Amino acid sequence: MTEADLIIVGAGPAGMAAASTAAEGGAGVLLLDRQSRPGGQAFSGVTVNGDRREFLGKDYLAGRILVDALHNSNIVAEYGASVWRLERGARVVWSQNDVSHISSAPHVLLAGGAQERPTPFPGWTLPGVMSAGAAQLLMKNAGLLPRDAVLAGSGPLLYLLAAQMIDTGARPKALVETQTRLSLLKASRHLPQALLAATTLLKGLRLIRRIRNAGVPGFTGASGFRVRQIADGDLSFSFNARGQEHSFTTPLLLTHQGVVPSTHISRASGVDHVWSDAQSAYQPVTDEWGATNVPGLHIAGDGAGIGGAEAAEAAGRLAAFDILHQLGRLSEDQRNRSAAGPRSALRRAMAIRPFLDAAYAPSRELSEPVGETIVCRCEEVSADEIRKSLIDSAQGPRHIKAATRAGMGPCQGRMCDLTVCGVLASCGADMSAPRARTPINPVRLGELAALAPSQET
Amino acid sequence: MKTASRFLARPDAGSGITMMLDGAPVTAPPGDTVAAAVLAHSGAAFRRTEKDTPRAAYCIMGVCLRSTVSRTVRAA
Repeated sequence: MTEADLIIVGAGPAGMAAASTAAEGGAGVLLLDRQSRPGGQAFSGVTVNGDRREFLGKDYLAGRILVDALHNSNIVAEYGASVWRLERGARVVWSQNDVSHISSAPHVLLAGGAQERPTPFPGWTLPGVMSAGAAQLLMKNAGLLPRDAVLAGSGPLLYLLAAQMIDTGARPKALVETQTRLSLLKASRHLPQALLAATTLLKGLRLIRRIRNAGVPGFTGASGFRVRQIADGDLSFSFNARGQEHSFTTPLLLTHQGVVPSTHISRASGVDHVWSDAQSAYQPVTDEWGATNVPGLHIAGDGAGIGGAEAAEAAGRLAAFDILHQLGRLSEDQRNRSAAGPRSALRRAMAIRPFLDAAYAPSRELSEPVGETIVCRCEEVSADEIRKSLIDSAQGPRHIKAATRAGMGPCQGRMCDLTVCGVLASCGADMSAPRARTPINPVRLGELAALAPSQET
Repeated sequence: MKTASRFLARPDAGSGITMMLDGAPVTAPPGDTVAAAVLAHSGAAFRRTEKDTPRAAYCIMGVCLRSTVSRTVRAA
């Protein structure tokens, strides 16, 4: 068993910033991340890309500053480390190279970030349909460029991905967006506040102009997504827009409708969660420092509510200052003074969120699927089966799970929890945050067995 | 029948680790994930579900957990 003052789960922008801030303040930090290198999803592969792959942009390459700050003798970083249990007190159980370890510390910071919101529609489980985030990770980590891909859904990531594809000569075949003029109009009331984040707003507008100038066919207000396999490797993607049916043949359909907090670990750890109407997702309840109802447990970054990489970095520093204060290494006054910079950075970064959340709100069709559309990819449970179990007296997510097996596969509901909640909400049923349980990541039986003696002592 | 990769050939892939994929040798640069190495060479399904529907890698971030592969050889 290893001892530290603080265990941080996740080495993305929040976790990296928290680790270096806490270490500089004198705390001993154990930083755990499942990937083989630091960076999280936002800065995935930034340490090995060096000056290659410039198309990924300046914001991405800036992640190296956060990585470099991890070179601190107070930080022990373990990569390829998958946390599968978190106990109060606090003990963190994690697996690396097929061996599980138990580490304890008075403080734990969860910085697990976000995942993409599921985008269920008929055919979305076919090979050749992937998430836009998946394509971006393959670009960052493997230099794989999508071939003749169609981008569909909504959210700023689609613009960034399309622009990066154009820059590399892998121009998308089409950009099909679900958001309507009405949603943009509704979002416009948040524009005055968003002006505080004018640079981000301008970046977005520049991306949209680049996509338009490249001649990528664009559609908005699209609905009726469906995809089928037509020939070996080729898909036919159809949708309605401007009152007409459209269809594209493509080997690769990349879908997206924003990101949501990864709450599996926090839900399995007894943290209170609430539904956020603005972000259409569950998020943990945290105070202004990221502290939760569980003593000694903080959450920072997208895992506490979506804000993006800059907000995550600031939130990571705020949590670290609060933890340093609780460790007796900073007075309350010192903590508050240190927090001024990150707090204003956080405010700036969050200023654009209400506009983005409203403008690119998830489409109802993709949030509350009907018919044969698969909701749970693991157990192959359709929207109809979930609706039927509701009629047959299921109440809430737990009953649905028991009745249909939705959420009982290897991903443990990561890919269907929100969709099940959407279907429940559309039927007027209870939609409390679904439970999550240990092991929150896959672990070999042999590893559990090997741990047993140490747990008895 | 081989299904073409859904990604463009990599100019910077070079040679590296050689492995067998569906009976044919393919190469991947060191550091590739298994998923990336397979996707670079094939657009085919990774596996079939219990209901016999085809599936391939989807999220690339360890969320959907459907690109699980069996490993017979361990890196030294």
